[in-house]
Amino acid sequence: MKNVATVNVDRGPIPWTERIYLGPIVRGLGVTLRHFLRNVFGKRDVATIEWPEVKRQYSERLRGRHILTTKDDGSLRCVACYMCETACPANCITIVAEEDPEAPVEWEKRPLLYEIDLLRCVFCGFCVDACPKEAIIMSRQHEMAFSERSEAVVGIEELRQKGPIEDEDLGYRPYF
Amino acid sequence: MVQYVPIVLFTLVAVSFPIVTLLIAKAVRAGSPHPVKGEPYECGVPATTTAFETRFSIRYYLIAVLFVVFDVETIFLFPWAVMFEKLALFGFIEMMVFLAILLVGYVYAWRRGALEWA
Amino acid sequence: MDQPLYQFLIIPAVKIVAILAVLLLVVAYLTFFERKVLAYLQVRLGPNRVGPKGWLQPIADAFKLLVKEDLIPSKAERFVFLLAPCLIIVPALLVWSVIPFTGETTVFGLLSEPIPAYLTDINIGILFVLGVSSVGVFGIILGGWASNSKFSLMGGLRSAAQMVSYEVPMGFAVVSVLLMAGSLSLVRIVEVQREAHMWFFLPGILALGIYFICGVAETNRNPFDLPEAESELVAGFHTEYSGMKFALFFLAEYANMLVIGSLVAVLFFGGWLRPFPNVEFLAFLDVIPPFFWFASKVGVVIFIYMWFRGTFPRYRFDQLMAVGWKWLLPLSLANVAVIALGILVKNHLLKG
Repeated sequence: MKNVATVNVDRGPIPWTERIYLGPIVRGLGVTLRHFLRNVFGKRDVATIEWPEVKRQYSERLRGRHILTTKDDGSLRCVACYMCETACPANCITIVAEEDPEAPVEWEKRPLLYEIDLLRCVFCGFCVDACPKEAIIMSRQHEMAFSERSEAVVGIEELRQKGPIEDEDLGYRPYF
Repeated sequence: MVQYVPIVLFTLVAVSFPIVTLLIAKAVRAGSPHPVKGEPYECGVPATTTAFETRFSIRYYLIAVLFVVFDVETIFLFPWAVMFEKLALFGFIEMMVFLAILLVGYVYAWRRGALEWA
Repeated sequence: MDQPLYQFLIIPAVKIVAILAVLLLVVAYLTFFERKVLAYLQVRLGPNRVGPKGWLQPIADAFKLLVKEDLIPSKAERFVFLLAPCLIIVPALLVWSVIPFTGETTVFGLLSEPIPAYLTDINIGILFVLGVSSVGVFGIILGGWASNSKFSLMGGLRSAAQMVSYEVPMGFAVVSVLLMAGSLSLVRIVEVQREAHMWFFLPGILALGIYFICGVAETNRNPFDLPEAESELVAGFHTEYSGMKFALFFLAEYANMLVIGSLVAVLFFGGWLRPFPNVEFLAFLDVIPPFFWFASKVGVVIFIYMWFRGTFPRYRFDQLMAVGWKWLLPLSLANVAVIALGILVKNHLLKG
């Protein structure tokens, strides 16, 4: 490593006219003054989004609150295969399976209890990736506020898809 | 001297202002003391020594002493500046001599390093 | 109106109440304006939710600080801890007794004879102001020491060292104004500016610069706000204060800012005089009350304070002290000598 070609970038001592720094001071003051005058007297061009009157538009890949999808007759697509519970890195899904007596063999299992603890969930989307039946997808709803911890553990009735699938604000899901 | 009476009055009002405000705040405020809340801030770790045992640099003392010297110089400049019209050239030269003597002291302090890093 | 009771008690009491009420209101809304001005400088909106367009924000802040819990750190010196905010707010308020807002006024014709619109005019006005505002340093040191926290102690010491270092060039800048004015009384300084047809910032432009920079350093504002910068010393000497005591520190800081602004207006920009006060051509401007000129000058200085805060990075402490002792002190001394020489030449050598 001795004969490496080097370039000398030393520009010498800084002249005193640069060291007192008055030029950049005035330019900096000019930039902020220009912003101030433009925002107060001219066209207001601020970076603030005035929530809740104006909300940001999120991508269709946003991982928000979960939705358990249903088939055309209203029953859940979930077959309680425990793939999502196993894949979840935060261990927030709790499933208890039961048997559906009069269903065909493809849908013989269904969930008796399906709970997600939304305070433990990290919204990673692994459950959506793991599900073989496209039974759990995520919406774009991210504003969830709870008054008590017990309100955050949501079951089938809160997670189930309400109404036609096009009406929901869909986010992270397979094949969209 | 009579012009100072309103200042005395104002002093009384100004001294009572924080006292009254703090008393009102004491009557109104929330109070739930807890020993954890009383600990001083030390970025999350418990403080092992009190602040009264902390050592601090001698440079602060030097700054205070230098301030006293230069402030006395400023005090001497005040009456000279007010009476400058009447003092004309003689007063100017005399004050420049005084400032030159103090300038020698200032340069000495600078060269000895009393003004470094403080 | 000339009975001693009126002259010594009633009229000063009314003036004191008026000054304090206006001052506290202005200081409270100054916090609001600082947040708005800083926000617009930084391409964002300031507080605009509390009340219409955010105008009730200072009331909400004051109420919050009033009812907030007051924590005293364990093993802190209780008496000194309580005394420090009082020591810093009393001088900040006391200085306002000598600052002239306008000349003689009849309050829009309400009074039968004009009364002066300042509390009192002592013949050592500017000396009183400088002396009393120096007492505020006590509050900072004691506040930093009494809270049992190393950050507060270092912050208090640094802040006090900074304030004390910048008092010296400030004194010299004031001396150069006094050379031109010939009196220490603030009202007389404004009168001299009217008689001389010239505001003192024209020959004293360097003194104005030095005085303003020292003023920014005195009030611990950016770019000299290392002692109270949050990433450096976690709010410095007022770390352990909460509730109303913290509110008193805050009030004192903004009141000091207003004092520096008023002194810049009075010493350098002619106080309450309108531009070109002796020119007959602009006499139609006399319909504007002189307080408006004073207020707008102070307002411009306060805007420059906030403009500086939104623009500059802050000085490191040793750079700060180097600027104060090695740059501003010799510069202000040279300024005094040059202005004295200029007055000498103008008055004595050019006449004959």
